[in-house]
Amino acid sequence: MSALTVTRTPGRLAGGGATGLLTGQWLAVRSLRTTWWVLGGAAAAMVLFGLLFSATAGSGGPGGQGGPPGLDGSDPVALSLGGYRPAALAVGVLGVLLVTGEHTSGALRVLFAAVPARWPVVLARTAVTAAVSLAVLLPASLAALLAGQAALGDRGVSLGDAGVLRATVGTALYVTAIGLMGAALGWLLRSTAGAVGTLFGVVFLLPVLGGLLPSSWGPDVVRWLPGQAGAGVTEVLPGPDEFAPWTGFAVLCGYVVLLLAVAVVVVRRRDA
Amino acid sequence: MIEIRSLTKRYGERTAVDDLTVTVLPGRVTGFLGPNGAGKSTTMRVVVGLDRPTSGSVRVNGRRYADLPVPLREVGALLEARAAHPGRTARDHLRVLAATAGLPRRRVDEALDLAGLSSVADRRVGGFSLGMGQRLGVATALLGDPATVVLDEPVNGLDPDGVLWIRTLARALAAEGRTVLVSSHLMSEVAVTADHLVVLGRGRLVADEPTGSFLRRAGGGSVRVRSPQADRLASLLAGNGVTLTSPERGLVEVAGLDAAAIGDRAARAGITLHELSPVAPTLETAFMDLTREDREYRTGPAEVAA
Repeated sequence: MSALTVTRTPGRLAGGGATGLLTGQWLAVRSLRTTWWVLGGAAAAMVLFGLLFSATAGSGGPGGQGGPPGLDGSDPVALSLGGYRPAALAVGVLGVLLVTGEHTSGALRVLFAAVPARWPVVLARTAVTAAVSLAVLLPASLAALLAGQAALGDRGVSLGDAGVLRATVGTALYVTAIGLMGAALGWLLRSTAGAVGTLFGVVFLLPVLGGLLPSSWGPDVVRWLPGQAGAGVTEVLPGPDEFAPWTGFAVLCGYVVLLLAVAVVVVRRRDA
Repeated sequence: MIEIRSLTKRYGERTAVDDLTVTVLPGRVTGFLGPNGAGKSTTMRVVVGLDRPTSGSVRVNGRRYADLPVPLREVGALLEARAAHPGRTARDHLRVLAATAGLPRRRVDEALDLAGLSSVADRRVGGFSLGMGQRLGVATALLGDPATVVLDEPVNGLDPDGVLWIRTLARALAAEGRTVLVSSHLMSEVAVTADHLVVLGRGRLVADEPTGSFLRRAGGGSVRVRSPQADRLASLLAGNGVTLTSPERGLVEVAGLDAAAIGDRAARAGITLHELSPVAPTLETAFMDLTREDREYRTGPAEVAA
């Protein structure tokens, strides 16, 4: 029908187009205090834990063992970036909250009425969440590394050394990716408790349970877990059972993209 | 204009809306009535594309909702109280939507002003009263200056000022030629605002007619008359088509005559009146009256009223 084609304005999705969607979602994310409290907390955790691990690494214990658990005391980069786990926890929860908070309050239904296709909202929200997280986490990661190396003194490395810059940037990327995974679970499950529980289970609990598997094939399974796959990019030298840094990160991103794709399909089909 | 054709919506086993066909016309306030659970909210959610119809179709301003180029400019909806993130200010809530729909920034201020929220625009929605939340919902609905406005139970939680404001607003929007659909489970509320009524019962259309004719068909209510000479008055008023009941001494409830006729007759006979008040039929009684003959609903009064 000609009446339809004439009045349609292609490329101006929902009226504001891609720019409007991104601006809107930036306003939405920016206007919540939660965003800044959690990202600020994650940044502080990265720097402070990094300092703590670095400063205590050399103290040792009576038996010669010392330093933080689960970290290689002889790896200066791992020590200074060791705060990424609590940061990933926090940002993962933020990813969930930014979605489920909109859903439970009803704000999402108002938004979906404005954008009936719905998927642009999911994508715009994802892009903004990623950008905002990286904008805070990249400087935090860098600060954690520099502060840690300063604390280590002679044993420290410089940003120019092989793999150090990649591990620093990779740490921010890893934490951001966990945040997006939380967001994808938020879209899928709509409940804060369900999404946070699933995220923690998959990212933090499964690797622990995976450690109970027989050593002949257990590591081959564990390295495919999202949290483990992505962890290699945060290290200068990934462990023997881990993927190469960018390969592992690509695996993590694959999970995130897959979850988001399922989320888009489900969000479009489901009654809002 | 909203055109609903053979709309059916089922949630699992439950049928919320059952083969509903109705057209909501511009230029008048259409009241959408029915007891809680009658399917009003479901219908409105389908109209703005939030729920998918199980079958049937809805067209808004001549198009499927999903085909509207800028939905916010065409349809504004208030579907639930306080549908905004509690951590966001009223202004930010509207700015998100304005940016998404490509509306100018000044629309945000205009909508806030229209809803009487300018003074609290920069407060977080979490601290809003239910009434302020409703006002923000109205601001949201009117943000895009839409030709069609859908308000689900807009007076819930509003103080008398707010109720009056919604009535005036609904009529003003209709007078500007917009399509205005306002739902309520309170007949008295809709009766004073709506020119036309669409009544649902258990998801099915019970009535689609002008408010006046619906009220007359529903029995037109009664008039409470209090008088020290109640017995004389009763014998004076008794007659064809007039029903008199006396729930207590000195009080007569008259059905079939309006207040003016009763007052005139009493005055002519020199009877003193202490009270003369029209009692509008409640939705519940009107609804039951209208559906009594409908075999589908003959499942006992308790269930109909629920």
